[in-house]
Amino acid sequence: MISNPTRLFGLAVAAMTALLVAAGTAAANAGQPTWDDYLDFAYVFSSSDAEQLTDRLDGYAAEIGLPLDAYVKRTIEDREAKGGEDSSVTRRRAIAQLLQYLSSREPGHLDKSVDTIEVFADENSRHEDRYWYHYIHAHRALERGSDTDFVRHVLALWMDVVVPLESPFETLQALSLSQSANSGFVSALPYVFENVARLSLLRSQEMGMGFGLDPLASIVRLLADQRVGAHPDVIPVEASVRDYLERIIHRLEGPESDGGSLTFTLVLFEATKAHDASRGLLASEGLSDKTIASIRAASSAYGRAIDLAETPSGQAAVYTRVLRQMGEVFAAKQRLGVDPDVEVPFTIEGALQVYGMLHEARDGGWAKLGFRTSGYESYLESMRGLWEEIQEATLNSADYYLSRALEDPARSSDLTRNAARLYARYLAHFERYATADATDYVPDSAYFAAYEAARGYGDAFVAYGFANPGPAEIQLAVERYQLALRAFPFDRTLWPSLTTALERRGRANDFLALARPIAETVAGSRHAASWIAQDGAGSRTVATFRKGLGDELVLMYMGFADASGLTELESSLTDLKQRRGKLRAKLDQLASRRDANKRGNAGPAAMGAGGEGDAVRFGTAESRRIARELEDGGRQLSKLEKQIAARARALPLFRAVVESKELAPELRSQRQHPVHTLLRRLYHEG
Amino acid sequence: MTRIRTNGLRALAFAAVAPFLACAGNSEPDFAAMDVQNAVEEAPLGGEALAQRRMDLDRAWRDLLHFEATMESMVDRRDSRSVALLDGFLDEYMGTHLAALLAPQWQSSHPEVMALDANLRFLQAELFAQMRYTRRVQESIEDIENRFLGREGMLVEYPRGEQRPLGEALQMLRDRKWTS
Repeated sequence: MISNPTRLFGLAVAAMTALLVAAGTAAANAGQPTWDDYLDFAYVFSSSDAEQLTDRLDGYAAEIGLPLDAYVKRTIEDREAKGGEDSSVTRRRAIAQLLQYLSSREPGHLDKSVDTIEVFADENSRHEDRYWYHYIHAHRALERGSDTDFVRHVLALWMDVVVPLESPFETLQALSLSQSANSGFVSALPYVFENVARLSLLRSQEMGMGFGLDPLASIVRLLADQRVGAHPDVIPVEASVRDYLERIIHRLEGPESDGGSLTFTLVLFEATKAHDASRGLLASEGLSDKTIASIRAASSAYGRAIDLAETPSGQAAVYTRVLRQMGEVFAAKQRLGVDPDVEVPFTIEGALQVYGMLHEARDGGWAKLGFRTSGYESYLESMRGLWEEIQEATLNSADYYLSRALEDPARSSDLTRNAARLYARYLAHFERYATADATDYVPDSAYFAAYEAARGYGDAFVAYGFANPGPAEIQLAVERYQLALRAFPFDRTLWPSLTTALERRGRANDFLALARPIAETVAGSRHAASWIAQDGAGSRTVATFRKGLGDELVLMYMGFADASGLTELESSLTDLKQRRGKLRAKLDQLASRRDANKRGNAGPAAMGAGGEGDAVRFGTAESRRIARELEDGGRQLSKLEKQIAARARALPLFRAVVESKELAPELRSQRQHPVHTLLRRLYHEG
Repeated sequence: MTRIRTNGLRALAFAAVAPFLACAGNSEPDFAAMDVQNAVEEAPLGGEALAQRRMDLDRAWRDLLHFEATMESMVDRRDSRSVALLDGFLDEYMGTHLAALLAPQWQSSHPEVMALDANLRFLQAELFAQMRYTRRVQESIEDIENRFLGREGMLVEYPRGEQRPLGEALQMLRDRKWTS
């Protein structure tokens, strides 16, 4: 959360009360304080926001017993009466008029201030006069929207005031005299830094100066280098604009820079603030009219930033942020079940193109894309960040279309295909760039996103059932499910989806042929083995799947059985065991009769009436029947034994798979989850 | 507000800042004139004055780095309008402030500041090269040659972030004059 530097500056102003009091010591000793006393120290409070400044001026007026406009009027009358005035009175009047403008935002006051301060146009004027001369002119340049004049006056202020005063200030500071009442305007230097920073970074944006500020990047860098916030005895660090300044510098020189353009950085920063505001409203008010207006304002601000961006670095910075907004809007629409017209004037295609440009420069030339100052790591960070937002925006928008398809049967076919197109585009992007050697350019989370997109594509045509897909679409769904299984084999419910898709093509028998290579990759994976050995995140689930997928029967269960049928499968094992028991008993009985026959051959007395338990004479039809039944029964028993052994081995494994902890929810919500790394390795191992 | 705490320190402080305080109050001291006076002074500084000069040179060095980074980024983006604006500022900055700071001969051979002095000259020349002031680059080269004659083995920072012998850096600067 960005703190409000203007509000904090109010604290600094409050902290400076002591200085103002000291400044007015002479006046206080003499009696009533005057506007002269306060205007000489106006650099302390002139950067306050309009409301605070008005309160302050009202307070001073009450204390002095004279409103500021009356003071201005009196100085003019005095000048006319005397036929001239001291230059300090002229300066104070110009400052008073500037303060009137800053508190009321009435441009007429500013024009008068400019007219008054014009007497200090001579560059040999005193530093204090030159400070106010440039400061007032810079305000007018902002009011008029003249970037060139604004930049010129800020640079000139630096040249005419800061450069000559810095060395003396340090001398005085070394002697603890920098804040002495006798040190003159040199003691104002910390405030000059603060005011120039606020003027360049905050006021310029407040006044809509979204162009031509790039030369001031040098001043901003100078201000950040041991100047703003470097004098806590004068302005407490927490009350200075240093934190804000450092954020700007970080962006100016980091991966979100447009080749070092200050204008771009400030405009994007403002857009980000607008985005934060709309996000806050979305959370508190949902998609209310106010929220929608705020989202439009943020989108429009991002639009200004993209218009300014001249390098792929800057374009990537804008797309990274605006895609996040796009994803948030789609997610909110889906979550809240409303569909207001909120257009974000950016497309995922644009982001894909920018990624393509960045990717093409990977073997050289990346520095020329705006990363010369920020460096190679920033280039990589920018690529990975953009990719992550592309995948999130894709998945969120596709989810939205599918949820709309469920709610709107009349348009479900079109909406489903919209979702499918989004998924397909991401998958094409993934298959093009997510190569084995692209670890630096593609985030690990891209593989799980590929699973989600591939599964989403398949489900759109197979699981939802309202798109009336053609044979080609079903075939593509089969291929997508295969891709999804390669990218994330630890989703138990995905395996039967492949079977369902194959059934739609009359090819259910192909399941094993298609699924086995994927299962074998997981079962034989050395990366998975190493992961389990090191007890990496999700190891138990990974180990369970690895063991299960190594067994073909478990694989068949995963393809053709569902979790709810597990109990039936287990009861079928009990049936089999019972059948085996009965068969064994029957075979034992038959074997007894046969054996009795052998014993009967010892004497005729053994020969009975030919009943079931009686001995059977060898060579008779009955003996041949028994022999045949024993032979058939033996085969059946062997088969049953095999079935029982297989099911006894496979069903516990299948149950373990069914009951294993799901990894998908964690991976979906955590882009940095360690299992993403395993997924990448597994994918390229196959 | 900080106060002077002892009489002894007060006396010392007064002596040190007497030139400033002489015109304190409503009429401000003419710091620019004093800077020029300091710059043309040829006697080597010592004590606090030398420490102050070190600070000034160090600050100027850091400031030039920031100017160079900004100029480089604007040149990269072919932003000729912004380049022209900063160019005008730098021209004045180097022509007045930096020229005065680099004028004394003694500081190019004073062991405590000569490295800073040399680094600053190279960085200034680099900026001239970026601004396509070929003649000024040549003047800087000749000035460095004269000031550091016989000390070509002295390590300097040029280009930014790299250290090499002064003679080698000069050769790079000569090449840079035409290739910027």
